[in-house]
This record gives sequence, structure tokens and C-alpha cells, in this order.
Amino acid sequence: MTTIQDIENLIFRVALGDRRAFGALYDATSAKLFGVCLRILNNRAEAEDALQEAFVNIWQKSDTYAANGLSPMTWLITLTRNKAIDKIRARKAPTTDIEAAYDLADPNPTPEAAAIASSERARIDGCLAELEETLASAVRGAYLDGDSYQELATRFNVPLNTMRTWLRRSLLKLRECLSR
Amino acid sequence: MSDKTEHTENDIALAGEYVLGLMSADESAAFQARMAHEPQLKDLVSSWGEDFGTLTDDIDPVAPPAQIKTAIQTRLFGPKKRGFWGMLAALFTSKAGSYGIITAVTLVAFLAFGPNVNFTGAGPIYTANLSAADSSLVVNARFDQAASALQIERLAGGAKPGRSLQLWLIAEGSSTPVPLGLLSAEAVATHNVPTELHAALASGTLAISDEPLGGSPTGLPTGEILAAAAVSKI
Repeated sequence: MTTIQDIENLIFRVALGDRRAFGALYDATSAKLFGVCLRILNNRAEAEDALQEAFVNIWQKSDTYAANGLSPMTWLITLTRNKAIDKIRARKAPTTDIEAAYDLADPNPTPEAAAIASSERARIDGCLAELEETLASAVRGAYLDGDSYQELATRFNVPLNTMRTWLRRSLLKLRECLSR
Repeated sequence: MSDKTEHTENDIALAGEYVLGLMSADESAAFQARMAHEPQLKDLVSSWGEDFGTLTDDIDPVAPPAQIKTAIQTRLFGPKKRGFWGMLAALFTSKAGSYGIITAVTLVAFLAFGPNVNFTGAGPIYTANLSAADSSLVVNARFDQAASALQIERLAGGAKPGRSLQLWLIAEGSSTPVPLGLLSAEAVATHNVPTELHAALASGTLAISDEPLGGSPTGLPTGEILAAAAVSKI
């Protein structure tokens, strides 16, 4: 069983240019990170590309890990998520089909699903549940689907500035709840 | 959490937008520029990063195809089998490429041990607390830039019999560890830091590795990294 501390040590070793540690880090974390790529991209070939790019980035940026303030798994997930979102953005560019994107019946993870997840996950779910449902869905959409303000505004059929005001207000509520 | 008192609402929202990727390229660049010298923004960003990161907690792991690992390694390190000249070429192109140069520099700039360096209190003070996962090694590092003095205080643990503990500096944006010297047998020791390493030390990461007696024979860590920590300004 690889502990969080093991993963952190591997990242430190990777930062020192240790290729064997890099292999071990890949073995310990690639399945979770590939799961994240698949969830975001919903496309195997693209997910495989994103995973490759993520690990290239992990090798190159490992020396910035310690200064980052993130826990090791979150750091790895954040780098990977950002690579996957880049791919989504590239796929969506240059325009978004308004008709196709407008779907208020967008499914949200249910509170039941959240209950079986970890307590940390339960914490953010609990706080998202305090938001209006569409706004909680907007926050999830931005994080897990890479939705832009324009896409969110289109989906919820509101002007861009309104969407931005709503989401910023939601972020403040969310932070307030998460800090309780 | 002290978010409410220390952070403005605008910054809380900005940091959230930044982490979610909702900013335009310009906004993002401006925010990053601010983050470089406003540590409280960095804290906000890491809080959001941790919180949003938990949205992936219930995503199941899926083993990627075996060839992905090889593809990544080939992309980073070149084909696995390679002759002497290939290795030599790789040495000057890969991540490890600057080792030779840096090692040469550090041989010249190697830290002088001086037990009686006085802390001036005149300039900025930087610290790092290096602690092994099981607290079997705990070391406080304190760098007084005005005095060029790096004080190493060993609070717990020490070198194994017949081994040495070696201190390394990894400069921000660099992947090359620079040897800073061996940990003294004394609980507290002060090293003199050459001026050319001041900036790197102030913003870098310190690490301690387990090495053969007398230190790594290669100029790079060869043993286990026991503890590491980022250096931060007091």
C-alpha cells in the first residue's frame, strides 16, 4: 500500500531527477489519474494523450511541488485535470453550439452518491448542496468539464455577466461554508 | 480558517475562478503576477485546489494501457537501450543535462563551515522545517541572508552508523539538486552560504538524503530522501 507520504517522497525524488522514482510514482498513481482523464474527457484516446502529457508535466514541474502548498495527490490530480481540460478546450474551439449546449436537465451527482464518498468529498458536496442547484452544477461543470463562463451562461440561459456575478457569489458562499 | 478576516471577498472569488479555469488568459496572467508576491493569494489558491480536488474522490481508478508508461518514458528519456555516446548525448540534453555544470559550480562555491557566524537580524530571515514522515528526523533550517548564514538545527534523528546525512538545495524552477554540505554531528551547526546561492536558497527547497559516509560520491543524491521542505520567508 502506497501512503500519501510515500507519494510525496517519490515526488521529491522525481524533483531530484530520479527516473526510477518516476516509474514508481507512475505505478502508484497512474490508474487514479487515468480515471480522472476518462471522467473529464469521456474519450479513451484523448484520455491516454492527456495522461501522457500530465506525466511529462509532472516530471518537468516536480521541483515546484514543495512550494505549491497542495497535498501530493491533489497536486498530481490538479496537473492532470488541467491537461485534460486543455484538451476539452481545444476540442470545443473555436465556437460552441448554443443549441447543443443548452440543457438544463444536465444530470448532477445525487446526494446519495455523495454519501458513499470520503468525508472530504462529503464536505464539498455538503457545501455545494447549500448553493442553488444550478449554481452547484455550474461549479462542478467548470471543474470537471472545463466549462467556460460563456458555456455556463449559455447552458443556464443568462447573460455572461450575470453568470459571472452568480458564480462569484457562489464561490464566496462555498468558501464560507468550507471554512466553517 | 482565517479566510474571512485576512482575504478580501474579491480575492477569494478570484482565486476560485483561477482554480476553476474561468479566467481569460489576460486575467490569469495578471493573477499569477500578483500571486508571485502575495503569498496569501497562493494560500487561497491551494485551499480551492484541495477543495475542488475532492470532487475527483469518487472517480474510480482505471489502469491505463501498459504502453503508455513506455511512451512517456521514451518521450522524456529517449529509447531505453543506448550506447555510451547516446548516454553522453542524453546527459547534455535531458533533465540531468545541467548536472555537470552545476556540480562544477558548486565545487567552487561549496559551503564553508563556520561555527561562529553571527546572525545579524539586519536582513530577511528564511526558514524551512524538514521532517521525516515518521518524525525520525527533524531539522530546522534558518537562513540569515545579511549574514550569509544557514543555521541547521537537528531536533531529532541523525545519520545511521557508517552513513552521512547530506543537505541539498533545489532552486525554484530547477530540477538539479545542489549539495549544500553534510549535516554536522553537532545538534546545531552554521554554514556560510556563498552570495551566488542566496537567491536560490531564499526561494528553493531543502532536502536531506541518506548517503555513504562523507557524502554522495556523484554530486547527486544517491540514497533515500528522508525529508524535504520549501524555504519560506519569516
